[in-house]
Amino acid sequence: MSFLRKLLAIARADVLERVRRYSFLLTLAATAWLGWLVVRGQIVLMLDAYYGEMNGAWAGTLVAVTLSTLVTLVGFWIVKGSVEWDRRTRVGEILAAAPMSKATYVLGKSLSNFAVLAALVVALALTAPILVAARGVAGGFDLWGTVSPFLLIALPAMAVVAALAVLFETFRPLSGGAGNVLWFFLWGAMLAVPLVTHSPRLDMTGLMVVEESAGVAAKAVYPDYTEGLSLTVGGNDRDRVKGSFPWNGIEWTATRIAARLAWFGVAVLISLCAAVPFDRFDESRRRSGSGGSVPFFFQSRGQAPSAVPVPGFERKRGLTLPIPSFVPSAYTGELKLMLNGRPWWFWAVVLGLIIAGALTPVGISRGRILPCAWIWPILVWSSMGAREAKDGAEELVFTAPRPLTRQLPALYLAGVTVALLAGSGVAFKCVLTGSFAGLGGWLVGAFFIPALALCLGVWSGGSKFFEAIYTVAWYLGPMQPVAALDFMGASDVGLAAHAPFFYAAATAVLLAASVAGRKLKLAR
Amino acid sequence: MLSLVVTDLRKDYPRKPRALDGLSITLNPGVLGLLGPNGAGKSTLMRILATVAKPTSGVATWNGVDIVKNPNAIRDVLGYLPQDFGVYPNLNAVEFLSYLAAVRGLPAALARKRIDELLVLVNLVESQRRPLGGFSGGMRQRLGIAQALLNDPRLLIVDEPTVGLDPEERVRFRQLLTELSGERIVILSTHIVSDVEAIASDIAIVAAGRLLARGTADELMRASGSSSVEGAYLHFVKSSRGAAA
Repeated sequence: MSFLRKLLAIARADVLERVRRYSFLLTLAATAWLGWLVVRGQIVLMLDAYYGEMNGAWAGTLVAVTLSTLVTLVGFWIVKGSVEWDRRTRVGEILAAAPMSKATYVLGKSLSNFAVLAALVVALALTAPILVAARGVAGGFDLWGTVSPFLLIALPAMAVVAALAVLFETFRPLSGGAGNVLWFFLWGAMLAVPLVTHSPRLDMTGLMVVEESAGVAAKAVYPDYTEGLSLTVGGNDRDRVKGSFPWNGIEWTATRIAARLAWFGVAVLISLCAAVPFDRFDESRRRSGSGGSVPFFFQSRGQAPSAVPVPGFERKRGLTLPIPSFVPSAYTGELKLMLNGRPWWFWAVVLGLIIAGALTPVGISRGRILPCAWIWPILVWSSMGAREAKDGAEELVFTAPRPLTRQLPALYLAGVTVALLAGSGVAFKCVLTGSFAGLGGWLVGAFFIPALALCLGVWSGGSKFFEAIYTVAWYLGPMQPVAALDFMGASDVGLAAHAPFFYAAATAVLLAASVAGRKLKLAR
Repeated sequence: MLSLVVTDLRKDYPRKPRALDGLSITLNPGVLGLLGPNGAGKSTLMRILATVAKPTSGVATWNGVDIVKNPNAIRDVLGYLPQDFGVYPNLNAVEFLSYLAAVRGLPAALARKRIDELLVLVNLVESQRRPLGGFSGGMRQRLGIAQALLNDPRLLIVDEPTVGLDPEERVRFRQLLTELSGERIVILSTHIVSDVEAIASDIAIVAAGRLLARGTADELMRASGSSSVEGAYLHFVKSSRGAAA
């Protein structure tokens, strides 16, 4: 009983704390926008070239699959951070002294994460009846058919994501930006592996259940139907639609229900695993130099001298010397803050990518090496604009003269320098082979990435937003490649679509937004 | 009788000077005032006794039970106010205290009653429904004191408790600690020597992770040949630096 009360108390306090933040309202607004896309037919669920007639079952399944796939990706980033919040607010230290097991704490945090994600499920679930009312067939609404996909597809997936977010937080190597980036690939694997290997046991998102059930209905009407479930955003698939089929929803057998509910058990197991590496807010168990309560640039490398002579000021010329807006030392200072303390293997990989960029054929150099070179420093860029808040140094940095015209440009140029350095091998290759269009795309990318990082850091006050958005854009744009998202001109389709011109303009907009955001902060 | 016994406690942090260097001390009911310069190891000692950190070596026992191996033996009866603690800015005082009461295992009805009493005690009744994000430093500190007293602790550990309090609140808190000290062990760490003098029946001076001296204010003044506790404190700390050099 006491365990349950503690568990619920942790979850309740955490949920209250989160839902009262403005960011939660923004999350709900984004969910409503996603719902709008569904209603407008911009998000399409198809089996091969067919889709189900718009009744309650199909609408519920479409929205539930949207939740278990797209929203789980973003949902992880939304909920990850509750343990870190306890660490940063130092409430964790009070909790650590309380008679509460590590398992109770992590389960409470998982429950809180799940409650937040379940709120998103409920918000988006409201779309299903609207969808049926707007575009449905007559008499197509049935309650169980509409609701069951949310209960048995979306919610179990959310439970797993909620637990994984806690596991990532308690396992130190994954608690920061590296975990945010890794999640994208893990999510992709969780989506693809069950479909590719035909392993229903690994089907966390419930896609195989939908494919199996709706596939039978599609095959009954269209004998040429072949397997293949897809969820597309943007409505690009409408051209290849061959027809629709009647479907009354997933037949929820006891086996299917048990298989779906088992994911709640998996979530509990993952949460319990999260208790193992959890340090119970004992800072001494963290590696020295990883932060703690003291900003890293205040931490001394050696022993402080016992007595330091106080330097006298040369008062002959006064202390109000005109200081130029941009000073090189501000730039080198920002660059040092960005790069100091990086381990040797970070630099080894940078060097390897520079050499690979210069030695491989230009197509590979631009198309494969450049994306790698510009995903590697993601954690360097993600601190831009957010580091001052994270280190508690805002009042010191922003009270220095001309923070807008001195510190901000210096910070941006330091970010650009990192991009230029990491991608220098590719630039060398472009010059050598006369690929000047590619070089132009490369240059735009080098200025665009730090501008995006700076803008998102300034406005969000954290690094997670950039890490999430950049990873997705990087994968879809340069790697896939989707021409419109190829912000570094890595592909010929991107260059042909004049993507660099768009991103050059976007860089200017992002920089203006960064200045505006910082200005707003300074005015508070 | 309650007893907290610390024997040969050591604490090493990676790439930092040793925080505790074989510190031993026995505590019985009453207020122990811990005095020491920055980096002396006071907070480390308190964090270990509060079961937040583990020592590198050494033993700490609560009524004979090793709290390093069995931290739950002490957590039920522990009240802890860290030196630098935070709050959930979007919760109000009642919600925050209810949360911590539940985590400490207090039954809901008892928790409600206790929270009402404590809010009166720390003078936060009028602000009890305001989001904590809008609290001043002093109000936050008073809330911290309230949370430390939620479970009517037998062992109360307070690290720099009067930081941010105005003079009136400080006097009030001193009185509170004195009243509380009868049947429990209170460990108070502070830089404010007058606070220690006013509250603590027993004073321990710590530097470089070692216990330099311990006794009543009179005993320390006599041993150091000083006319004030402040003078005694400076005497012991300077002597230890001289010995180290």
